[in-house]
Amino acid sequence: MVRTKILPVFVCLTTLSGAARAENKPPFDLNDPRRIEMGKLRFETSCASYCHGFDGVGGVAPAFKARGDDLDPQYAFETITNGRKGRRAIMPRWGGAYSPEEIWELVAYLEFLAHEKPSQTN
Amino acid sequence: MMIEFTSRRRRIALALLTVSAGLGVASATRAETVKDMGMAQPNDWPQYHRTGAAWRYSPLDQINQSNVKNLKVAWIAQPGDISKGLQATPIEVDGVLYYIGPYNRVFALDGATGQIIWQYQPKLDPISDQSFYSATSRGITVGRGKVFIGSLDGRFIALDQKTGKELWSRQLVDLKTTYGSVFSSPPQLAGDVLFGGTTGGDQPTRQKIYAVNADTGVPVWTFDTIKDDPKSWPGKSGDVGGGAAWLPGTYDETTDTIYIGIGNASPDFYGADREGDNKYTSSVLAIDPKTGKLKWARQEIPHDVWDYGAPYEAVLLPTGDQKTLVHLNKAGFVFVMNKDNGKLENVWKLVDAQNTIKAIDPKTGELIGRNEPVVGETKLLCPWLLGGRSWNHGAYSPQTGYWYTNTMEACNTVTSKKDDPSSLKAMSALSLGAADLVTKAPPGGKPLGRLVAVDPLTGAKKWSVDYDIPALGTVLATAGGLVVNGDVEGVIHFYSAKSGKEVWNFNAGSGIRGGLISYSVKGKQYIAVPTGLGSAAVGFMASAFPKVNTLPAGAALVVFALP
Repeated sequence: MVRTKILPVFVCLTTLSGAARAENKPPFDLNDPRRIEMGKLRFETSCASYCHGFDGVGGVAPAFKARGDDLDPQYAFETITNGRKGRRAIMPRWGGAYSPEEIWELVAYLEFLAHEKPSQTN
Repeated sequence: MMIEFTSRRRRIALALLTVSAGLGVASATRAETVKDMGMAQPNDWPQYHRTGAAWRYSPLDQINQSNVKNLKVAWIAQPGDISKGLQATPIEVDGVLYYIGPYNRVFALDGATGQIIWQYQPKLDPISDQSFYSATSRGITVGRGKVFIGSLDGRFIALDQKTGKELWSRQLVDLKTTYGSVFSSPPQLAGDVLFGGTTGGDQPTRQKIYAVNADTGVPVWTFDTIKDDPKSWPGKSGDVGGGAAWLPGTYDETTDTIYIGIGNASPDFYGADREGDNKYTSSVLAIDPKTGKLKWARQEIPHDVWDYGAPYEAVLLPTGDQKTLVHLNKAGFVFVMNKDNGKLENVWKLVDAQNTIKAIDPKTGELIGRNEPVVGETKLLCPWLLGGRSWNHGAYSPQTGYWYTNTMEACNTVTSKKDDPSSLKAMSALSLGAADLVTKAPPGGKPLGRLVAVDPLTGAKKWSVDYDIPALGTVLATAGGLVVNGDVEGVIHFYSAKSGKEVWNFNAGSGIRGGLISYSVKGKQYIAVPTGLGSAAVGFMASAFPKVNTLPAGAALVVFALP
């Protein structure tokens, strides 16, 4: 049980690019509403339609909304930066397209979603 | 001495020469009629849609309604990678089955045993991993002694059909400047011309159809699917107008014509910057393969603002004067036209959940009662952006005269919005022109999928089968009176082509997204089913059909035969 939880993080960390390693701390407060809004805009354009669903619910990946404290910001940052190979789908790496600051804004939005109340309907 | 052949003589001579050289060309003689074309090479599945008529009908009848219950698994092939599932249609010629798995890995197998003859993995540019469509491989093409690939890093590649050794590779698309537009579908042969378009219906770029000499890889023409006409595309709107020909075209050898469907306009749901008809998006085109010149075009959805492209198959019917072409678009309307000039003969509606276009005039093709997205206003639009059907093709049986196709009854709400350029920096970004986009059930109903058997000329329904989740596989019809359709849960259903009664099924364990085929080796008929659920559509469907997220991924080619 412990092994399955640690292994993905370990694999991800060992494959990080130099840029990702250097920027793995948020350069601003993740609760900043302006940053959250910027992240929302980016999420809806780049992440929502086919994969994660608008408001982070209903896509092929587990819901972000109301998931609580299990979304580690650094893990989220690293996954967005480097991409991830899933079972039915592949998340492309966004590190080449967005700056670390822009990716942290995405993380700020995901953290905001994680602590929202669940929707009544989907 | 140089001899000038007429175009017809040239083709026949070339075919005979190639056959005599033992290069294994798919067809040695040219069909004179659509019926001849659709029934050619009955033992094989030599092309993506089996023939240029796009029937996906096998003339083999050894497996029939009476004995189908005795089918056994003859062999299984696995590509070794399940990324985005197995989406391809295999090709079978002269007892050898060719298929492509994730990341363009190609296999040639003994069609009777599944034993690997050769395999090939192109060394893909790592940039292809940044494309929205990475890993997606929908097929290969076999002919002229070669196996052709459209690659995930923007190339056409030719392999030796016997050995799998690379013969030539031609870079045609720069992923960096086209938002990761890749060849997810196999380029097709039209004589000695190899042609195809890239995927990327939602990419803010100007899409093209590329054609090369099939023997050398040297480019022969490029067709710009964005018409150079300010009335169609004001200002520079065409430069980001989309119009991808992202599915395989077909070749009508009776008239030496390419048919190819064109995808949606971009940005998908925001049309204010591209007022005009936006030709040739959402159209079917007839192109001269030698020159790349347009013979005729039929735009089905002018000024598309719903993501209703028309990249689907052009089905040629063997009935009447054998001049009828039937063509579905994502709006869920079927256009019936003359295949030689595009003249409209009828338009009929395939799906029930349609609230964006009230009707289409069957004589003029005019869209009546457009219900368009409005900037800043959330509107319910049916069908949803996956269309009244996804790209999984239908099948036509000349035995019954019915066309069989899967459909989707589902909607989405969309709030139209101009894209923020800062959010379109990523190679995999989609230019949807929407602030939000949420899947919804049709008004008064629930979202569902349906396999329908219809009269392709009128749309008159003959029978239908409902599925809780839309099926995403391509339909197969056979002369054994069977229609075969795989669902997303992995069950392969065998139906009576005439009545729709299910006569047998088999659970393969993971959903079907690829193309089913049938072929014969040494007198024994096989039915090959690519299984393994994947693709972007699966992700989008999950919000309307939550069970999708519980379905296992996979990738296995399951081949059946009688004992």
